[in-house]
Amino acid sequence: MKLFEKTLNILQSGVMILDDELNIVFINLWLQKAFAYVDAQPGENLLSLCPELKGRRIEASLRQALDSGLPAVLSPVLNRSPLPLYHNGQSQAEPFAQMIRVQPMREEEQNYCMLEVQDVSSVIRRERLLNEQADKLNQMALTDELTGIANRRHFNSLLEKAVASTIDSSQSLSLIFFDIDYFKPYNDHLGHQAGDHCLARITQHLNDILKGEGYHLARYGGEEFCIILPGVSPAQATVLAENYRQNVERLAIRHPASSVAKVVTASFGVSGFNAGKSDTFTGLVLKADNALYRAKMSGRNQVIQACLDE
Amino acid sequence: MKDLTALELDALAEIFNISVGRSASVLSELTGEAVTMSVPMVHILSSERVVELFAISHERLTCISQQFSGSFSGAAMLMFTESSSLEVVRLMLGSQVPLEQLSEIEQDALSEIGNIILNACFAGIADMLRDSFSCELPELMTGDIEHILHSGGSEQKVLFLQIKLGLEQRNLEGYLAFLMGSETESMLQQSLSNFLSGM
Repeated sequence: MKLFEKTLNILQSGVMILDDELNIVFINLWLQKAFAYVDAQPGENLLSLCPELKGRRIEASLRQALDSGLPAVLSPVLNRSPLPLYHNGQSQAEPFAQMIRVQPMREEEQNYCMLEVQDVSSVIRRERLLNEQADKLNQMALTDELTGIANRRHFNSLLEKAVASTIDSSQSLSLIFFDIDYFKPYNDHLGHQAGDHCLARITQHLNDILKGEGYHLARYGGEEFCIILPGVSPAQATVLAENYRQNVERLAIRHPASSVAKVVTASFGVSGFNAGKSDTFTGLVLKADNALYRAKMSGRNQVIQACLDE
Repeated sequence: MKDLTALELDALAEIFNISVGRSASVLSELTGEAVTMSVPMVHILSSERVVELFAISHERLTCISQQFSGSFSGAAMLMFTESSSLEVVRLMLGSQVPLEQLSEIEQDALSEIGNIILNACFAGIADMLRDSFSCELPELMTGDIEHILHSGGSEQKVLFLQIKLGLEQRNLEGYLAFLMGSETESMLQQSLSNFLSGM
């Protein structure tokens, strides 16, 4: 028996046996040390030592084990630190995260329960770190590096969701494609850095407006962008697009190589989703792209709406 | 062995309703979310029939099981389809994990949720039987229904309950299965008829 007790005392997790009045019958060294501010000795009553446990899940689990013989698991997510246990008796620290198992025991007509306590703070820390990294990677995979708005991959998934819920709800859905006019000559004249700066300014300005309205702006590629407008008819979307076009113009970014204006402008194409007319995701994108092309052909710096029956 | 009567099944449903109701309030307190639970129906099925019931969907199940023994012995299992179990974790723990996998600590949390529900049911049965039985710690497993039922032993009758779980306006469904040997089944029937005649 001496050997068993020695073993329990060098164990790197906590073991405690309580009788049916919650008196400590046995506590191993690891657990005794972890009870930094409480002198948890055999013979002491757990609830007198830690009155804060009264009415908590830990007390209910111990009673259930003693009275009904039912075991319990107290996981760290649902019960962060059921017992006041601390690392190396550190006074400022929070109690460490614990995984506790409670099991009933019966010996010589007496009910006991055994508590097994593990310190899972490093598991929790590792998990949090992994979650943060996963979030960051997710964010990076969906964001356009230059402008900070949604990239094409994110646009695809956003539009797919919007199309699916439009089909379910039979509401309207519109899509705007726009493209900066004479962007290549702008770059050639002022350099790529100025080009990047120009794209970032326009997207930031429009994104501020769109966020307030609850719509998504995404970079489709190069100097081409798109806006998804759930619940908006193509006619309404055309009015909005005209507003966005004026906003780009009013930014008054000097353009030395444009033949339509002295400032940077953009051309807009608008399309609407024909729910119930076997319209598709690709159909919606192609219509908007085609309308944008026609806006370019008709002299740029304008909005063109795709025909409804296209 | 005669089948349980409608009256006996109703009595069982009532006992389980009270039990899961108790565990719902424990879970509400733990998670800070409004949790409701009810048991609309209790069935006694052969294990083949349970396999058939789940075979249609082909969905994998997450199961929290506890073995119990005494005058009454077998295995109790709380089962969710894998997608429902992820919803339970997402709604109860507020975690935004990718839906494909549960981390170690979320699995522990799911074990605890199952443990709370199963313990409440054990306590309800023990009250009715005026008896206690010993019980093991919960184990979590995933797999298809055949794999899960097989882990509890074969050729058994299953006391099968559907559990309706309400969480944040979402309605989820879980299943509770008590795998019993034939002796356990007749014991249960005996205690039920004692219980009913004593009422």
